[in-house]
Amino acid sequence: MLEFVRHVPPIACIPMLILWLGIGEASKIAVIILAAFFPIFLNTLNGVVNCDPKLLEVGDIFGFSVLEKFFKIILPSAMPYVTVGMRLGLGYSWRALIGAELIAASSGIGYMIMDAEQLSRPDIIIVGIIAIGLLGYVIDLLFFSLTAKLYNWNKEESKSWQELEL
Amino acid sequence: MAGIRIVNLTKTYQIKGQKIFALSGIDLEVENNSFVTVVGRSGCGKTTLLRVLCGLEEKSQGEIYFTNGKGEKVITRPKISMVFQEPRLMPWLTVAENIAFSISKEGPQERRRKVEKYLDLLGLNKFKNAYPHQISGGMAQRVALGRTLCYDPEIILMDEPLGALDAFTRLNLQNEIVKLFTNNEKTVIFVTHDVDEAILLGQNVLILERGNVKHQIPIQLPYPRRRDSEKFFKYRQEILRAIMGDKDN
Repeated sequence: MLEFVRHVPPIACIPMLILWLGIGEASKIAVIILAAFFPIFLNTLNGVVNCDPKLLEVGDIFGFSVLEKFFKIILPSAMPYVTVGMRLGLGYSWRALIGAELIAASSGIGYMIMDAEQLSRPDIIIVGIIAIGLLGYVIDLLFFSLTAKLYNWNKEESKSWQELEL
Repeated sequence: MAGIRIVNLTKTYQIKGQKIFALSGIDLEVENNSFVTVVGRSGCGKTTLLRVLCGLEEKSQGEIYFTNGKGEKVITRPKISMVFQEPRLMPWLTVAENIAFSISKEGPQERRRKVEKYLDLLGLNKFKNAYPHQISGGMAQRVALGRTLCYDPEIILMDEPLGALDAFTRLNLQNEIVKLFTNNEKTVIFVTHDVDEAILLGQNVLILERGNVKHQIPIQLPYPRRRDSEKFFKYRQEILRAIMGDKDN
């Protein structure tokens, strides 16, 4: 079932979503959820499944309960996967959102491009494309710098500790 | 305050329908607050013994009892912890946070006090804000030791904790372990494949072979022990002979 849903592009669902939810914010939010769900879900699943059993044994040794093991070992070790999933999901949902606006919307950059197509104004279309790319880039950059601060343990920093202290 | 009494402890594995005995009927008495080292060839069941003792693996047969200071059986399971061959630190926590990992239920002040105590004791103060990937292997193993000490178990099991370290770091840590445990009220079972290390640290050296205790050799030398004394050599010869069998000598 999940595999079936995964292979359906969110754009393909837009006509049905409009039928059910109307041309408004609700259908766009639904498209974003559809687009973002799989990269986040699959990456999170991967992170949880790939949790090092050796670290889980450390939890056993200290008498942790199942919940404690989840919150103190599994969840933090899966966080880098979760953020990668969120980053991918952000990109996908941005694309799906513009797609939704192209097909059915009354405002937004996608709507502006469709409007310009009907008015034969390629200049507006090009501005729209540039705006989409730039905004996507800026959003990704913001998200990345936010998460990089949270998970700085995961990156190879300078090994200056050893050099300075030993 | 806890000793261990092991009666006919057996652990079997099924590999391709064949029954393999990792431990075959071990009988053993570990006294309260004693330091026991276990040596043996690889595959003799050293690690399995520790894993069964701390509950990471189920025993197949036999009994494990815990005893109090007077050698009487106790029903409540004492706090047991283990130091692994690899440090197994949480990569997302700093050195100080890793040491506090085992005592997350205690209050913040109590935690800070304990962490600072063990940072001092193990010489890790300068590194307390470093992440595990930034420190050396010897330092990481010290953090792992600190994390276990912080948990304050009555029984500490060590599975070749110095096995992956270089010779100099090893010497240092061996001396530190002697200092830490000779006047500390803990029962320690220390597995190693290094005979010198076993004599240097243990009050009792157990020799395992094919999942059973073959010999038990008490080491009657005062701490800190010297590797170059005559008695040390005699013990080493005795143990090596016991492990290798008489045919090699």
